[in-house]
Amino acid sequence: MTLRNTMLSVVAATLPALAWLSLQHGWIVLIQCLTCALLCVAVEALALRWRGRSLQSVFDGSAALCGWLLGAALPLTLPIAWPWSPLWLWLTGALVAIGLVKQLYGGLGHNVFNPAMVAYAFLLLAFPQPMAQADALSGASVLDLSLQHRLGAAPWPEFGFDPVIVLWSLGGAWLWWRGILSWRLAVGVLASALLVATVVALFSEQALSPWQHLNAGALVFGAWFIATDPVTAPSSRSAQWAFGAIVGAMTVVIRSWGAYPEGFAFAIVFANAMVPLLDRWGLRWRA
Amino acid sequence: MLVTTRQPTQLHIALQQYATRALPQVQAHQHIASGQCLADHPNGVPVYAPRAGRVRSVSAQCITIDVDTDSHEAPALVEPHDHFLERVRQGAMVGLGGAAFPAHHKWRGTPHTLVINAMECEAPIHCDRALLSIRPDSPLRGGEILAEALGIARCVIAAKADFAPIFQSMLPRVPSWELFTPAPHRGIGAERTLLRALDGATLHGPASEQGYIVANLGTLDALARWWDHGFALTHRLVSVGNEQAYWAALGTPLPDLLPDTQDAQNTENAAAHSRTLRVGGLLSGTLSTEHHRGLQAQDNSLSWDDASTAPLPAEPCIRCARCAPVCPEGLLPQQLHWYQHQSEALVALGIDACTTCGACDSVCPSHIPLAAQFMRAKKTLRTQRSIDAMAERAQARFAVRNARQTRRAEQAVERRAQHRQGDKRQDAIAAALAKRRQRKAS
Repeated sequence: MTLRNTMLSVVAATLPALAWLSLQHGWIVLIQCLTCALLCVAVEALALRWRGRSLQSVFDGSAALCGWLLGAALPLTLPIAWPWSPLWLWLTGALVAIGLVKQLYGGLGHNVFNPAMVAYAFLLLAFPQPMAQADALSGASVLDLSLQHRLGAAPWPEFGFDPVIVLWSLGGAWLWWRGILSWRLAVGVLASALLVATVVALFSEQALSPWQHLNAGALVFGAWFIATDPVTAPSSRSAQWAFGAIVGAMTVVIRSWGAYPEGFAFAIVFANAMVPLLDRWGLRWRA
Repeated sequence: MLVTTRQPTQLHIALQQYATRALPQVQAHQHIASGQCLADHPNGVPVYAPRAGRVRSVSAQCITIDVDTDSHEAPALVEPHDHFLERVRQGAMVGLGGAAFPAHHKWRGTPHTLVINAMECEAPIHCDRALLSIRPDSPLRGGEILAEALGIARCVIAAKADFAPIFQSMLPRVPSWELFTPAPHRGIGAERTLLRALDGATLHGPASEQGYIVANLGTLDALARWWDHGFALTHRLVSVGNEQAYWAALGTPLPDLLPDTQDAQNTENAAAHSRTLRVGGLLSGTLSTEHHRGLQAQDNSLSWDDASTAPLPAEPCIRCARCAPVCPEGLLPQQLHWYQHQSEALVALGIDACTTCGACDSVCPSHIPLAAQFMRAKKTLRTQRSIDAMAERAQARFAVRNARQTRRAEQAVERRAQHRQGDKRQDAIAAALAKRRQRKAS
């Protein structure tokens, strides 16, 4: 098992879900993932060149995986001014993810924050209009409607089971079986999100049900493919549970009371900042 | 398994021991007998001549002997001491597992358990396998001697699965002994790891302080040979490559033991290919480019470090934490790697427990030489600690010196004051005498 094998396995694990989404939304899904991956690799090569480092590590697959996951997380921006608008969006995302979050912090293994999620949050803050496009790949539209409903601007959204969450979970479970990801992180995120969502639903009529939380947005995708990024997650068992709990709870809290429809990216970035502390506590909890 | 005895022509006997350096007791050009004492140190163990011959040279580090052609191994020329530990020292017993730690230091105290470590778990070392193939009874005999002398009630043979049948067949000889076959795990042969697998004991500090003696098969074999036949430790089994082993005199030049460097041609070839010699196991061993030294007690295995065993280039750590579950000490190797240059963090993460078994190396997808890094970090830490301890001692000495000087100054002042007081008294006496003289005169 090498670094590149690990990275390519993660890409492979996303394929069933992405294939399903392509059936739903067209080739644009795969085009978006592929373009983001290529842009990230290009930015990585440039950054390594500037840092005077060996270009060998461009091919370790980490930049490609980062771009691939960014592409999977971004909403589909096809309807507006194709192709320039999405290209700008993707390029900015790649620059932020690889240039700012990864290479500026010292390259692979040294980044504190998840590059794809910081890029996602950056784009959400900087370009709210294209990012809020309907038919978002991450399914944020439902959350958007729920937000508007909370604000009294829209009726209660009607939606239910989205089969893609099963495919994401299958991909994640395969990675767990291959020994590539820690199930504690993924299960921790999902369990904590469901728990907090249940509590919120008990006390608020406007809130989404736990089942709706699960089917909406990036929760399942993120739990399996984002929260489990080993570089930005803690490594001891108890700290992993705590990390998962923080991400899950923060996601539901931001979704329920925040000004943005989807809270997963913010929750991850927030929890990333706590990882050094969690890792230190993790040692004490274990002892 | 092929075990051969090699007749050396020259011996380079190193005088450096675990914590001391033995002091030579022979001179150049002197003829020495096999088993004669060559050097000794009260804190270390004596050094005996493995063969008869003529001393070529003596330095503080090494005694070189030109060996007589017809000489052979002989019992040590000493009168055995009555006291057990002193006799152990006399026989030059050191741990043959790889540390060559003096046995009479390790076997102090009142141990309750003797663990015979037959776990040989690090390729390509196979001295234990070789020993069991030539004299399987000997280590057991050594264990009996040790257990009887120290009054140890419980003896455990910790054997890896390959060796278990051999010991099983010998167990009727020592019916009260246990045979323990732990689950094969990398690094299981390390003392701490083995004792945890055996009794769930967590060690802080040396095993002997908690009543355990963990002894290597070779050491017990040496003890049995010393006790029953009077041979001091002047020879050891050394495994060469993957299949060969030699019963070789300490001091035998390493090239004599390496089959493909026996003729000069090949030696030159080896140099041309700049192959490095590995002394010890793949993980705990050290690489040496200096081939022309003599065999030492801690050298358990010799092998060539070929390109095929060289590691792949290391990539950055992605903290995948695959190293954590395989660590037999339950450490977080990826954290140790991250903090490898920060001694405080390393201590907090428990680096002292790391046995550098290399289990983490074997699973790392980035091929990071973790065990080597930890070994370096531990060495740095050890140096730092000894410097700290020295500084502390110096400070304590300085404080005592200051106190002493202050006390002396005070005493001097007091003495001077007393002296002056004494003067006053003298004055008073003189005055009284003068007064009396005056009265007499008047």
